[in-house]
Amino acid sequence: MLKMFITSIKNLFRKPVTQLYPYEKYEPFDGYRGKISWEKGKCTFCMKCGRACTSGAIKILIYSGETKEWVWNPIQCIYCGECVRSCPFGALIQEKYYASPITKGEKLDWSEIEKKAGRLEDRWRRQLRDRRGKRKSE
Amino acid sequence: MKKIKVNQEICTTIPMGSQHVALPEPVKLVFDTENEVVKRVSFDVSYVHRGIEKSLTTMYDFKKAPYVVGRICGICAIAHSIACTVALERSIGIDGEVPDRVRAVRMIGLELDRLQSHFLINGHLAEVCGYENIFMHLWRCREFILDTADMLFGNRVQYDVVCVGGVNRDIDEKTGTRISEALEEIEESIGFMEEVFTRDKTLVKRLEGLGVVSKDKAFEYGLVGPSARASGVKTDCRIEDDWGMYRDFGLEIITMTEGDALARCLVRVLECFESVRMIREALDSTSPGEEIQLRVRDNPKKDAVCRNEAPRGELFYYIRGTGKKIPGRVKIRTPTFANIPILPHVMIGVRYNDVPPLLMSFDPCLSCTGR
Repeated sequence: MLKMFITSIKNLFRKPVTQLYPYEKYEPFDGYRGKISWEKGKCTFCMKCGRACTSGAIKILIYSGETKEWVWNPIQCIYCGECVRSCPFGALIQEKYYASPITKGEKLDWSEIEKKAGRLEDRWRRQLRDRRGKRKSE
Repeated sequence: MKKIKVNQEICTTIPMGSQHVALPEPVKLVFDTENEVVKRVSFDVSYVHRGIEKSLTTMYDFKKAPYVVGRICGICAIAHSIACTVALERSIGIDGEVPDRVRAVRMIGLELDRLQSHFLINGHLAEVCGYENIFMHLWRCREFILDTADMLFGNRVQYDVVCVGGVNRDIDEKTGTRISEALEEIEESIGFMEEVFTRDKTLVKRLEGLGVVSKDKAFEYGLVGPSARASGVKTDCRIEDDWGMYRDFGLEIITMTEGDALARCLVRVLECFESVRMIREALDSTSPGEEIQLRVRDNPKKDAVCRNEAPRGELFYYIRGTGKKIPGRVKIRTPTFANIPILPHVMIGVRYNDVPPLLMSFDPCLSCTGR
């Protein structure tokens, strides 16, 4: 009992081990699981990251022609880093700092994007199937 | 409170939960008490059902499964991930090829998880007993463990480090030395915890002789983990179904014979020393830079089972491989599921104010059980 009493008194004058986060700056360790950033120049839109993503937070919108778009949902992401490891071109990097998922004024209509991506993927799959069918018939 | 008749005695019904100060997670207990002495208990545990077993057989392919099952429980996340991964590896047939470095990193993760879980529950038990100081101090010590985990895996509790065929990240030499330093500090705080739980009069008097489970009863009800070991049952899945290198390192199974709440706490405290030793052995056994990920080409095709020792006891995974990417059936049996049936029998005859410490001494994790 005495030991706990002494420890309690000591703890009164010790510094807290936790941080007052918004007021004190948080210094993350190396290898912290932070924001995922994408480099447009390196990306070939191979869709490997989208397939590897556990939570389905990465969608790739391929429109007709050459316009392609990589979309990431910071709220749905679990920051496991599987997409970064799956990328063969190094286009994705997991950064060291934490960024707030959504900033003020920004709006992410994810259900709309998912629908769009689904529609585009369906079309893409149909095209593939047709091509395969043609090859077989030939 | 209402009054009802149980066996021709007038009893007062006291509901505890589904939200209560003593409970970290939702569970509903209804006590019929007579003059504060509990006469009858009924349980309801499944308040947090999320359908994870079903989602694994419909939504996610097997490579994503370790991340999904990690979300079952916030405290023993890596135990679930490892059990699932090992079962999948056995189902694919690559469990013999897993490199030693992978086993070592997985062991370090699991033991760190065990350390923080034991600190958490012992602190919480002290709080429930009304000893706020120990709670504060033990959670202060737990913060170092969480920092160590953060340094190693990038997350404080949800490690996400295990994947099918290996681990995601290696531990480099610089981090290894920093961990060795941190372990000394952790060991010191475990020593403090041991001293408090063996010598402090307030705690010992409160917990001694509370909820005694004999060895025969523990066998009969199939207790697992520290609760079984406190009753003298020598069981540890790390030895019985060794996926790591526990047998090589000579893990000692800690048992006690008293079987009361204090013994359950002390088993946890002494296990912490053993965990620290295991982390040190694992760090020394292999060196960084070895292969950490196997290439997985096949799909799960066999039936496979894994038993893993989570902080609370035996965790059981069954996976039925169908040769496709999505397994046909995933069955999870959590440690708390095995520890709950004995609670109504232990609680009868106990005063109502002793119920929260008694419940906490079994270390229930209800998110796991509900899942």
